[in-house]
Amino acid sequence: MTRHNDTPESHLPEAIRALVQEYHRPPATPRNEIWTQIETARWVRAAGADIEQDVTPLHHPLRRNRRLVLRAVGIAATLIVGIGLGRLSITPGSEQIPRLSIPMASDRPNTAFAVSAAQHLSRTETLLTRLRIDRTGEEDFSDEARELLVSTRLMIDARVGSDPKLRSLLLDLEFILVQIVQLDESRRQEELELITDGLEQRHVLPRIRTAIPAGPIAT
Amino acid sequence: MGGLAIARESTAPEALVKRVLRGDPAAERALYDANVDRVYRLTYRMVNDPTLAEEYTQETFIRVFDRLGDFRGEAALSTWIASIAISVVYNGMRKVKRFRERERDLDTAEPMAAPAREAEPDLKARMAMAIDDLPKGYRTVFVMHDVEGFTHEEIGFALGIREGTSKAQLSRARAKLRAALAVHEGEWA
Repeated sequence: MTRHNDTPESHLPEAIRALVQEYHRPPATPRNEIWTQIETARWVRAAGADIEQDVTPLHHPLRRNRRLVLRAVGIAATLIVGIGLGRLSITPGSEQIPRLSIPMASDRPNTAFAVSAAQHLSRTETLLTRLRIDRTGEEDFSDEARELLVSTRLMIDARVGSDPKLRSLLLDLEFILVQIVQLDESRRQEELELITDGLEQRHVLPRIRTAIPAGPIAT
Repeated sequence: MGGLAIARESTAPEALVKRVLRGDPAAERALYDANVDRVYRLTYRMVNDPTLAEEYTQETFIRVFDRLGDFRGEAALSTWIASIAISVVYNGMRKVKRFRERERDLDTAEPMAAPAREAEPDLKARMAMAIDDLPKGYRTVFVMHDVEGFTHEEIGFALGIREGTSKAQLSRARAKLRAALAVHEGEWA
């Protein structure tokens, strides 16, 4: 390697120069893992760019943010695979779009999307149920809500999931999740009551339960 | 021969850039493959943490693809990418530092045991500590030049400093290291 205009007296002793190569010696580059993360992150950013515009930035400690991002990337990757397989299953000229009532035991390729959707709805239902019965007022729902918001947006944007009932449910969920993410801590109890009122009025939880097929959901 | 010539041309940095800007996914991967090792090695050397190194490498290439349209060829593509990597690492290290300071503030509330006296570090460990303790600019230049083999021209572009400044910082970094390692002089003399 070129060493322009280095004076000999400024060089390190030979033994030290050899040792310098051991300084924080990196392992082999995990290039495929990093590439997958890059592709997924770019996809998620493109799909969820508008989320950053209408959701107040949160000030999470670094490690919580990282965990959130990694989980969101994982969910997004699952959805990408599911949505991708679902798209492959639509034959040219077909106008049939998969319905919300998802055939879990089906052999159809769009089952991947169905499984992703069912898992997503199930997780959302769990979050909303916890939120509805939260009496301590101390549980922090924002990380999980933000993560689910990204997945919800992905599903709304996926044409394969454009069943009108599912779309309507997802739009309601999107609205509720945005409210949870934006919870003002100084008015927390008041805002939580507004959210739970909205849940009741829009019959959100019963609609989610109707949408999720009976039986165990594949993981 | 013609086919070979075309293949060579299509993977040259300038041609790759054009193909990426046209939306060619294979070119994106080729550009990544050609540069990822250097970026990962540099970020790892700077942060000594595999998770952070992966995260910073990922962020570097996301920015590279986002900003590739701004690349004007004023430096080699690999140098331009290294400049982005350094920027990502610096930003990341600032966040990590803030986070660790907050953690340390919380820890001060806990009763602390007297620190155990550590064994005298060997030359390798002392050298690593001495490099870690260099001022940020010195350490970056030292790592880029003496560890990763960047030229002063590349370092100057990546850090936005003159070549002469890079050389001066390297010289001072080496002097500080020699002083820090003087206690081990018998081992290398």
